[in-house]
Amino acid sequence: MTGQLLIDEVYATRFGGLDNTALALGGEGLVVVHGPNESGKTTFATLLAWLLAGPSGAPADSLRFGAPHDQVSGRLDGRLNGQSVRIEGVFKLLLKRLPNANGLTAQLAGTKLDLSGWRTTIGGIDAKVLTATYRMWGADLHDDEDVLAEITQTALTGMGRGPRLADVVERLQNMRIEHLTARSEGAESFSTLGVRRTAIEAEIKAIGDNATTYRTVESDVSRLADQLHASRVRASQLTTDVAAIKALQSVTKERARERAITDELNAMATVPADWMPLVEQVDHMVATATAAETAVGTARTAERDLRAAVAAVGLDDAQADHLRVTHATVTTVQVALTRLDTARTTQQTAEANHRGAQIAATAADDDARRALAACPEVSADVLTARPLAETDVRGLRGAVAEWATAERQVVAAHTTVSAAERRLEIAAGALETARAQWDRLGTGTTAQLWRAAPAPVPPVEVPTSDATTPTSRAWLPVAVAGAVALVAVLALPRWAAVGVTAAAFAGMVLAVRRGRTTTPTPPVTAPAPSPIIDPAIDAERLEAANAVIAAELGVDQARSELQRVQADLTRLQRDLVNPRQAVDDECRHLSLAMGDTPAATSSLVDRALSASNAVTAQAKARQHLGQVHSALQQAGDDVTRVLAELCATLAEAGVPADLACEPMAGSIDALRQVTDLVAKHRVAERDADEARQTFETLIEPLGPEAAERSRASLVTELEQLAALHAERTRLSDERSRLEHDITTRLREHPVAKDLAAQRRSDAEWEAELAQRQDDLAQSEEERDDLNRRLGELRQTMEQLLDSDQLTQKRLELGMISERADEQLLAGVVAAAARSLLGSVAAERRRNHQPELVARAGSLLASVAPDWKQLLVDPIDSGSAEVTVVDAAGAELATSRLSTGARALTHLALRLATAELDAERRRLRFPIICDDPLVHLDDERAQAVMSLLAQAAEHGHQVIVFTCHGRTVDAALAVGGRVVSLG
Amino acid sequence: MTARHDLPSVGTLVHAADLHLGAPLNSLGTKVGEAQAQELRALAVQAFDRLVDLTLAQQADILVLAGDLYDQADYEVGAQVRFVSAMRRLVEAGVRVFIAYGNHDPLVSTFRPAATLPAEVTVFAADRPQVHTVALRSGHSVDVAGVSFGKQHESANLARRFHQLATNPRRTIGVLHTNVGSNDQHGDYAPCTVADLEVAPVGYWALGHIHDRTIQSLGAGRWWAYPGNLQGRSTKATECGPKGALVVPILADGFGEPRFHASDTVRFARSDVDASTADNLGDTLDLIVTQLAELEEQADGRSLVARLRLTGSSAAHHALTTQADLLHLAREQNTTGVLISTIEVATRPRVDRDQVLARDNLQSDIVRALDGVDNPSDRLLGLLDGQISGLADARLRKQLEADPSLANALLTRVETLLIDLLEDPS
Repeated sequence: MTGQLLIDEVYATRFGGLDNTALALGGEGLVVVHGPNESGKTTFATLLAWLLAGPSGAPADSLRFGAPHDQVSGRLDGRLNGQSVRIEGVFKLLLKRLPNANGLTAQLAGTKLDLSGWRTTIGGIDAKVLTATYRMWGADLHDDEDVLAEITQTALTGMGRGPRLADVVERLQNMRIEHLTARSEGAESFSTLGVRRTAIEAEIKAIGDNATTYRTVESDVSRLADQLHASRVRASQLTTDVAAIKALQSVTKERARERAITDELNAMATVPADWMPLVEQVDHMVATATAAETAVGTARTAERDLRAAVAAVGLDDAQADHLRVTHATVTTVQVALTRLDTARTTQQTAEANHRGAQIAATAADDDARRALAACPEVSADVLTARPLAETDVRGLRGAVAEWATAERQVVAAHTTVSAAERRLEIAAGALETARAQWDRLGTGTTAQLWRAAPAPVPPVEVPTSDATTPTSRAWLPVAVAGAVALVAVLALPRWAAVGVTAAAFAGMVLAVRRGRTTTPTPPVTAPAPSPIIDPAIDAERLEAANAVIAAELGVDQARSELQRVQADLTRLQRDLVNPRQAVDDECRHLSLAMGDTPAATSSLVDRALSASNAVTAQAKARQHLGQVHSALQQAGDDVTRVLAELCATLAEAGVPADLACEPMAGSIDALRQVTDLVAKHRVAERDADEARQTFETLIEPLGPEAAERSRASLVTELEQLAALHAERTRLSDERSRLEHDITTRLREHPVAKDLAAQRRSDAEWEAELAQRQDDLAQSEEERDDLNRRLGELRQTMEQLLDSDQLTQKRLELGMISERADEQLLAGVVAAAARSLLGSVAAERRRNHQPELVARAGSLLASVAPDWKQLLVDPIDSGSAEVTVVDAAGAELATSRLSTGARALTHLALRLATAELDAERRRLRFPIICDDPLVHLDDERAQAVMSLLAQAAEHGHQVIVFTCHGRTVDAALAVGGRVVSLG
Repeated sequence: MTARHDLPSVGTLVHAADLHLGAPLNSLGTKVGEAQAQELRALAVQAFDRLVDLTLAQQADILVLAGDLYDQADYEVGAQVRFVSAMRRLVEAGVRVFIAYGNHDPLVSTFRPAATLPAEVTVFAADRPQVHTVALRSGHSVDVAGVSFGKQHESANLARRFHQLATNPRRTIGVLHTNVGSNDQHGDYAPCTVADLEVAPVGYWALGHIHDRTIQSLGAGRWWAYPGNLQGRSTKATECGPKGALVVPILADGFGEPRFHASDTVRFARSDVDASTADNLGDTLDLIVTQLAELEEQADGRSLVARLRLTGSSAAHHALTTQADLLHLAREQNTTGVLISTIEVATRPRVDRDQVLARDNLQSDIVRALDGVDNPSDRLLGLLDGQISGLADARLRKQLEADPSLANALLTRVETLLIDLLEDPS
């Protein structure tokens, strides 16, 4: 069972312009609160809404009811499900926020409820729900955005989310087009593939006559091949004819030539029979004769050369015959001469060296003698036996240096001791002087004691003055200080001298100061015999004491210093023993005498070393002289030996002994040449004899007369006969060859024999030949053309055989057909899907609207009979389009309706929303309307009021605030009540 | 039926049909490059060479070619010349060749041969069966009877014309291009029934026309058989699988069981790929490649062309249906040597149909609208009313007539498409 909340009275305690103002509403049903402008209608409406569910609206709007921080309040009394309820609200207005709703409290049947409790009681209705569902402003009823936002959210909840239907339909349409009819470039639709299929079928049809073409081409090939064969046969015949004619012409010419040769031979002379053998070997004969001439000439030349050579060397023939000088002999002699030169050169060098060695030995003797004389301490034998080297004396030199150093140190120490003694003397002198001075002062004590406790001094009357008064003895402290300083510097080590000098000058300054007075002192008359204190004297004493003390200090220091240096000297003197001993040891080791002093010893070492070097050099020079002398003797022996060998070689070669050996260098080769010429002459004579003999043997068949003739004449005649014979032979050979050629031609061209029988002239045959050749050329051209055509046809046949155009096209056709079918089915699916979707969607749209829309449609239809149905179509996930369907089924979107019609439609939706909300919450909440009929014509206004009355009838308290009388009338027409304001 | 392998053979018959020389391939699929197509064409031509080699290797006495030797009346010259050359080779080897022409190569006057068959090759004339006695190498003899198509659309029952022959059925080979049982996958040319074959005095029916290999017994030593075509031509179901010829032992009293010998060089396959486990396009491509690898293994080293159909209720359905270049992607990812001719996406969204029905929305309305349709063809055509061209309509009707299951399949696609498109992407 659905509950009900009814408002009986609203009381504005302080709210906007209302102060303690009540509005009685009277409970259920439709009530119109009518009042003029500014009577508080909106204020009451707002207060009512705030009290029911808390503040709502824009924060700025709330300030219409008070200033910021003002507290506004009110209450309402009513009944909730029959139980009395009072709701009180106190709200603080804020500048930028709505007032807090916690100021709202309710009391329901004696039970106090806070805001949360009240809301729970009324089913969770808060300000937002109230505004969206139960409060209707007339001004915004026609406003799409605000109204539809809430409605469509509710509507779409039932319809779900998803892609927009129009998008899906469009997509399907595009798919259909793409698969079936698209004709853009590259498109593969059923349509375009059909076009391509048709084209390929046409191509296949065009290709399809390949077989006929193939047979035709094959036939043409056969025909042309036959023609080619015939042409070849004819060409062969022509070639034979041409060759035969040419052969015939050649035979004719050859026969003519043959006859001419025969005639020539008959006219020619012949070679005598006895000469024939020689003619047949004419070359040999000529060569033999030539060889004989040549040999004789060579023999003569050899003899001439021999005589000249023999004369040149001055020999006679017999001597020349005996010569046996060969190339080896020449070489041997030349080598021997070279060796002789070398030996003599060596000998000369040895002599020069010998002279040089002698001079060097003499000089070394002199040097040694002088060095030994300069060093009598050492004997030559000792140095010879044991030469000295720098390395040997190095140790001695070091020891001598140490010795010398030690000696110098001792000398220095002596000097130091002397100086210390002198300083002591000076210090003592200074002390004596200081003491004397002290004594003169008559202190009766020592300076040290006085210094420690100076005794009073008898006063002395002294004049006073303001100025400083130098004492008559002001120079004394300065002098004393200076003396002390001088002594200290001279006698003391520096460190001591500085201290003493400082003390002395300090004392000087003090003394000087004491000697000067600045303050007047009243004259003091010292009683006699009482001592008088005299500052000047005291200062003097102080100075003197200081001087004594300083002098004593100086003496002590000088003494100490002397003692120290004396100790050093003693030590050094002691240490001098070792270096001396070391030097002595070294000298003994080297067999040298030690000097008294390091310098003497060092000098001795130098001299001994020089002497040793000189002795050594002398020995070397003598040794070298001996070696050189031996070399000189050897060189002389070599010269003698080489000369003897040379003479022996010449004798062996047959060279006369009266020819000197040594001059052979120039003449030995001439002797060799003589030897060669002798041999050559012998050979040439022998060859000439043999050649003559050979020739004579060859001409023997010519008889004794030929022997009488000269070889030249014989040869000349022989050559002539040979030429004749050669010519006859040539002609005979040519005639034979011609006979052979004729026979061969006739055998190769039997046709020529037949042609010969025709007995035509040469000119006729020439013409015939030309004709045949023309025919042959023409035949060749014909064959070329046939071959070319045959090649083309065969190529065509091969192309036809190799061509798989049909296969390719059929495969392409098959693939296109398959693809076309795929596209067809895909397009069919898309088209069918589009169609199905359209019909199903239309049905769903009409019959499956959300409950809200259906209710609103019913409400609308109840007050506007022309309108049959209300439809809501989701546009996207957050909005929708509302459409009204009239009785004829025509649809009109509310956005295209009039303001009034749209307001009516939206009111229906709002009321339907309220109804559904009430059912859900099980509570009929009051509906608050603020001038809902504004923008409406009378008819629409009445319809709206009817709807509101229906809502009231359904249990909602409908409260309408208005300033329009028309609204009142409309309400009264539907049975509503009116409450007046103001 | 008892195989008569154990009985001695007195001769060998090689039975082939549907050579389709000149057009060995019909379709390789979509967007296949020319180079690849040419390569496969060249390979396919070699199937006939393999038949000749098989005949010689089997030392066959007889080779029968039961029709559709060529694909069209416009015969490829090269194909003719090669065929005649091969016939010469067989004749020289002592093989008797008998040819019965079919619907693709009927004996018509417009036939323009480019080469002449050897005289020893017997071509059966049209109209009435002719009988020729062949002496086998073993000394036995058999009769070979056959008849050719006289026209392309031969509608007469030529099998019945064999009933008048006076031949010994156990010693007679019948050569005929026919459609036994009016197989609706092929043109209904020279239709006949099994009974027609059984009655005729023929011991071995060497038939041609149906591309699916069929071997049926008619009793002891009697058979009727379709060897299928020599080389598959497309991914149509009847063209897939091993293709070749039958080697039939000729027994002393009847015929032995025909044995199939593959001669195809390019094999076609159809395969479903279950994409129900795929979550996305990548998973689906992996499944495709896996399936292709399995198919390749079964191809015995031959080039393989495969048509794939993606099935199953898959999470990748939307991606697959919206992927415009799915075939290209699959070919790119394909690491096997198989050529993918087509990919048909027949997946469904991973949405339970009952769940959809349970909803109250547009999708459920669509499913209900297509549920329990009595006449899917009419329903489909009704939905298409006015939306497709006359040419498309005619083609569609022809396909619906040829394949009655097509309408249902299309309506299923419509349903799947709409459910997918209407699915809320959020």
